[in-house]
Amino acid sequence: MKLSCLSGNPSKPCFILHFKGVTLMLDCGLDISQVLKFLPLSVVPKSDNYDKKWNHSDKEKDKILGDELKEVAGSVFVDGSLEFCAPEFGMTTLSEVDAILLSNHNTMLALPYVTEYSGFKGTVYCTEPTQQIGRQYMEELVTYVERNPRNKKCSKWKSDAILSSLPTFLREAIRPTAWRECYTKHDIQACLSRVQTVGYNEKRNIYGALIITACSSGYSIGSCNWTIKSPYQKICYISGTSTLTTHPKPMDTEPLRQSDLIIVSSMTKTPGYNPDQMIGEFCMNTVVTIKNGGNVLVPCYPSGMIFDLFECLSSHLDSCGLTTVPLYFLSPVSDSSLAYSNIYAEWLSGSKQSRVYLPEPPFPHAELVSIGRLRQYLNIHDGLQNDFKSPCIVFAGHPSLRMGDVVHFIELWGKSTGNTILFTEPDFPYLEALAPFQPLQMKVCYCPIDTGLSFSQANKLMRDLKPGHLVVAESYVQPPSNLSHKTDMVVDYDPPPLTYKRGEILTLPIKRQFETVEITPNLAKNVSPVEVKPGCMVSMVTAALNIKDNKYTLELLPDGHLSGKKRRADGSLIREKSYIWGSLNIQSFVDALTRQGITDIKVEDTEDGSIIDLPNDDTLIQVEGASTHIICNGEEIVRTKIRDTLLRCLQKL
Amino acid sequence: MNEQEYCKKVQEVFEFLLSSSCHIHDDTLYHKLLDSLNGKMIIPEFAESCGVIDFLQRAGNNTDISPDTLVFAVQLVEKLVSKLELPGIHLENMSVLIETVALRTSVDNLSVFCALFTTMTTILQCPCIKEFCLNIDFQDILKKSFDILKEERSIFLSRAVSEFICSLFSSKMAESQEAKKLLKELQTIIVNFDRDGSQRVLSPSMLCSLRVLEKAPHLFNDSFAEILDVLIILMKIGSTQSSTTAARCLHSLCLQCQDRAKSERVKSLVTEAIETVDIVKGLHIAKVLYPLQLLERSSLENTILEPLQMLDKTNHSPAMHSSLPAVSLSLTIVNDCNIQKLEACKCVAEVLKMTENRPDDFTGSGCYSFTGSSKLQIKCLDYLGSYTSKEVMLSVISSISNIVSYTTEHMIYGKCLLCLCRLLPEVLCSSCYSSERSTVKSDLSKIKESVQRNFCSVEWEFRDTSCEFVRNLMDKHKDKEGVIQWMLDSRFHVFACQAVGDGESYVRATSLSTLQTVLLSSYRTNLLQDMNTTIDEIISQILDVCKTDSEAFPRRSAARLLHHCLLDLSYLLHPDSIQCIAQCFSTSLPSDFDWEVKLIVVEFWCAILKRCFDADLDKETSDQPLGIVVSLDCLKNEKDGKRGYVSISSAINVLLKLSCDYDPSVSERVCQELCWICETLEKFVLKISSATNDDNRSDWCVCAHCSQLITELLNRMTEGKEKTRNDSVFKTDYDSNAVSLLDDILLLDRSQDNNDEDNAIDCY
Repeated sequence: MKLSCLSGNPSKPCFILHFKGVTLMLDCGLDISQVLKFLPLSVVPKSDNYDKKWNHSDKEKDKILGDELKEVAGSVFVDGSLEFCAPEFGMTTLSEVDAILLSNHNTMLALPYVTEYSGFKGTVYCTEPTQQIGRQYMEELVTYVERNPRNKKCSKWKSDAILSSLPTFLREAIRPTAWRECYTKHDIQACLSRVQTVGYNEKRNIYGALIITACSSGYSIGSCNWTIKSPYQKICYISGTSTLTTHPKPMDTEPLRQSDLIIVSSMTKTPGYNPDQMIGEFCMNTVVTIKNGGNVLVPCYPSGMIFDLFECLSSHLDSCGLTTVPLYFLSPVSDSSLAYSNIYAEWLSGSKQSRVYLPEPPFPHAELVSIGRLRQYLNIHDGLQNDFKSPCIVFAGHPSLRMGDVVHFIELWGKSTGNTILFTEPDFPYLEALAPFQPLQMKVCYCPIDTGLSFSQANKLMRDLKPGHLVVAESYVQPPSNLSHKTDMVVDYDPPPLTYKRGEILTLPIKRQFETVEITPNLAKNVSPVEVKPGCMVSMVTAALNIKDNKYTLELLPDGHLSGKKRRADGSLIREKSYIWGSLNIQSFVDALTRQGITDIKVEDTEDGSIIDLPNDDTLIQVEGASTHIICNGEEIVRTKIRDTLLRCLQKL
Repeated sequence: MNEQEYCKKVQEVFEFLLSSSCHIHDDTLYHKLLDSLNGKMIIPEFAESCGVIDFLQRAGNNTDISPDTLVFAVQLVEKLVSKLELPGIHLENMSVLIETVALRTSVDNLSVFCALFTTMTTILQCPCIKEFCLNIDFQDILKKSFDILKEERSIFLSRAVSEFICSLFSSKMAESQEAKKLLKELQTIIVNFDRDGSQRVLSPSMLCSLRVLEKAPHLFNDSFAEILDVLIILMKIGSTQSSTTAARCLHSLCLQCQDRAKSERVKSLVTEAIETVDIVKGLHIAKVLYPLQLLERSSLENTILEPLQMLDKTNHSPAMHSSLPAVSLSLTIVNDCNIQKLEACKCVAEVLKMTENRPDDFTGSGCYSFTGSSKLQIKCLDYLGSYTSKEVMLSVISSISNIVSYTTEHMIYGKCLLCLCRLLPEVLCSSCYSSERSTVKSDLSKIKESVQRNFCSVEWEFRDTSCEFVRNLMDKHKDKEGVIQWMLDSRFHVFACQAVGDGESYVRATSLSTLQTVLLSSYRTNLLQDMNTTIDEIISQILDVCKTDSEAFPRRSAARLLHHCLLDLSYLLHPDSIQCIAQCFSTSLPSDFDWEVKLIVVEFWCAILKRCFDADLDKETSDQPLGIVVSLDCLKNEKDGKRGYVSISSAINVLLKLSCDYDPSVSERVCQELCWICETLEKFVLKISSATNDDNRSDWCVCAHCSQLITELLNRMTEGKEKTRNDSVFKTDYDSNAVSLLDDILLLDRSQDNNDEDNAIDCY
């Protein structure tokens, strides 16, 4: 059993699991953080800020580079079309992947690269909300990239010779030559058409070999953990899991118990920040800005945490007496995001579900929309200018600040100290994200909200689930680099967890020892089992083993063969041999020996059994629990007589 | 009911109490009866005529009497002996009762013995004590009391006995042989105290002996040296109880000690004890001794501050973990003893500095175990909130700026702001503030940001505390331009006043109070400008709060605010606003559900009336801002339909309405106010009638409405007076009708029920 790690970012995981002859891909995350190396895609055509070409000190290299790189406020950026770091698909033959299991919308954005460009022929499994929200994320990404395209593809800077001489920020880019351009909307449609949706705890059979089941992970609407079971092994895949109480259905731990191995990924990206405190900070900073007459900009994804932000913020605004401050939500999928969130009641927490029976929409943002306090727009040209009222709070994508309407708002509000940009998405380092917009006057607040498992929660969970083995990212067994003194911020388990990192193949410590085999009725008719102990019957069988669809069946030998006769590979017969079993009854044995003419038999009981002394034949028989020794110094005929008598006293198959 | 009938009824009650069928489960009836009798017994003859003496005599002889009745009888003796000069024969009866109870009743009956010793304690201080004791075996009672102490029975009984023994030595009986014998035993108890120090909790007998020693140290002169040794041991035990008791005794010994050498010896032994015990015990001793002035305060201060000074010298070493309890105790003592000295202040500021970082912050300097310790922060801030020397002012501000930026405890946040409020005037005037290199500006700027954020905190306590801070600044420093300017620059006033619409009622209430403070100050124009609003708009908003807020706290604050706005800022208000306020006080607020709101309404209209009367009495003031008040003339104009909202008639109408309010607090208050209103109105009528010609007088009297109003007012006032005289909020039926208490007690007599057919039928 092997596990290949294709992704370098444990929060955007992608694994290949070879298990019982089946090849599974676990998640298919896309690491978008590499877009930070690029200049933002302005909504309004090119601003003067980005025009300054970066000059390489080496004139030769500068000539090769041309105007691929630009300098903004001391940082160097690639002035080309955005590219993304897909997982290391080269590690495996994607056409041999039998199925892809997706955990949540955050871990599926690289899916089109697999399904549309690799010859993949398998099936993709995920829950329905994951499919829909994933579609929204993909469509938003593609729309942002295609809406204001930068058609120039830059690749000269990626050559090893030039890359090594570039400033650190670009130099540390991981395998830029493997970066790929964004897929298209057509790819999204085609890719999602291969998806088979599953419900929580619904069992799906993978080629008869494995049963997969999704169970709630409590991280987002429809997010799940996977259990992969064969009749004798159970592996669990935990990805994007939250034990906190937010809007999704709470985590279901029961199916994850009694597993031989658990693979953990997508733990919190910000272990030093408490999500509850951060929501409080977020609300507080928003209200301070509004009360000071400023506007608030929140770079965000179109779904997930944003629903909690709407809920908490609106109630906090109410409690601070700011009931008239408008909330604007801009995303190419804002309409479908808000609409879908309110129809997935069965995937939500108990409190949200109970609202549906009132009947009320599960999320309060539905009411905010109906009273006009929360307004959604597909982009800034979608009527926003008609309704726009300041001070206000704008939620807009993309959190990387390299694309989407958020770029426009930073350019618009960045010069005023009264405004605030509030980072809540933990995927991107906020200072790097802001680098191309410097110098920036607006206030910057970093309140990352990541409800994923913290180290203490993960350790507690594992102590509860007690898996046989644990597999975690290498970065999870050492304290985060920025909190190196926090030695408790590691995954701690006994036996010590196995670790994975990008490009590594792990041999999992699980050995298959048993397999279930069925017997056909015809064969069963000929079997005469003998009860060797209560409830356990044994029989000799000679049959043909048929393997089909990972199912093993014993059938009668085909007609051409002599039934019941064992043969060697060359067709020669093997002498029939019987198997003896049972324990020796000493008295019966002694009687049998007497009948064979052996006299003067002395029996001595020992701790482990008995010693039978035959002084006339100069023989000792030592009978123990699991063995019998005949120590015969006399004639060979006596030994054979004793052996045969002994065999007669035992049962045979 | 006349006195004779009352006495007869009392006798019946006594008869019932003495009967074996007496079962009164509610012992408050005994107390009420005791109070009632105590109130009526002014002369000994009355006690005789209503059968009290007879009851006490029979109670002593009656073996079937219930314990509760016995307690009642003993307490009755206490009242009689301490209040009346009883003839010898009566005193004898009572001493017989006391002796019988003391010697024949089982000590297990705790309540009886508690009452007995409490009574004896009172009687010991009476002039007739010697006469009283003539007929009792005082020796036996003392022995009994001493036995009870040694047996360590109920804490209440031990306390009663202890009180009795203590008062014995300050009474006329102190010189008796019995008392002297007891004193010897008490001395023995002290001298034989377990010296190995294992006895940390003092026994009742030891405590009692020490109390006697503290009250009358001269009685123990014989064994001065031994007692001194014991007291020093007690002090060294280190428990609060033993240290406190020993310290008080030592202090008392020193005060009474004529011999200078002895006094010096006491002091040197105490000093030595402090030096030899561990630091925490030493602190306990110092805490007890500090207010007593037994030792030089400076030396005690050194002991108290030692843990804090040691910290300073060790330069925040993490090895000082063990000193945390000592530091904490030291800070408590500095606070409790109110040591307002530079040295102490420096130490406290230093500890605050060590705690200023986040609890999980390992990067800053400071002792790890102190970092972020909220307990230490609270103690430091408590001290610095009452006293901060100039030398440490900037350090404290720096610490406060750090603490307020992260603290999640609103108590600490509040204390930081209180401290800041105290320090701000000096900080802003200091030369450091104007210096470019000083960090105080950045500290204040950090505080400003934190306070602004906390105005918007998710936790209402933080928002409330922030509003309160603004109010405090305005209240305490309204004449200090620098402070006010700093506050205005920080826009705190705007944040505080915007909280009128807060979701939490307490915050709304505090915000309204703050708004009131700001509006009544000379900085109201800044507020109005910064909020881009007018005073009339604000008034309209507050009127909405009065009418629609579901919580009482904001309505109270809003009503108070409107009250002050109308009285003090009427010249700024649009007439419509004035009319709305008056209407609100006439119609909605008087029918508010909250009684305190209604009291504000009463205060408002009384203030209006005072202004009206003052304006009419003194023509010079009539042109004052309250020209809006239609004065006494309105009464005459009523008939012409020219009734204003702010007028004497509307005031009186509201007050008359509230005088019938279902809430007694409101109606009583109105009735109290009506007295002076009536008096003033009567004066007016007299003044007008004497100063004006007959025609005017006839005008005044002819006005049907006015005369009706005044008549009603006078009637209501008379009713109110009557009611106040007879009634009180706290007065019960029993207070007004003593016989009903006696009837109720007699109703409990079950022996009569059997013959009462009606009752039997009722039961089914």
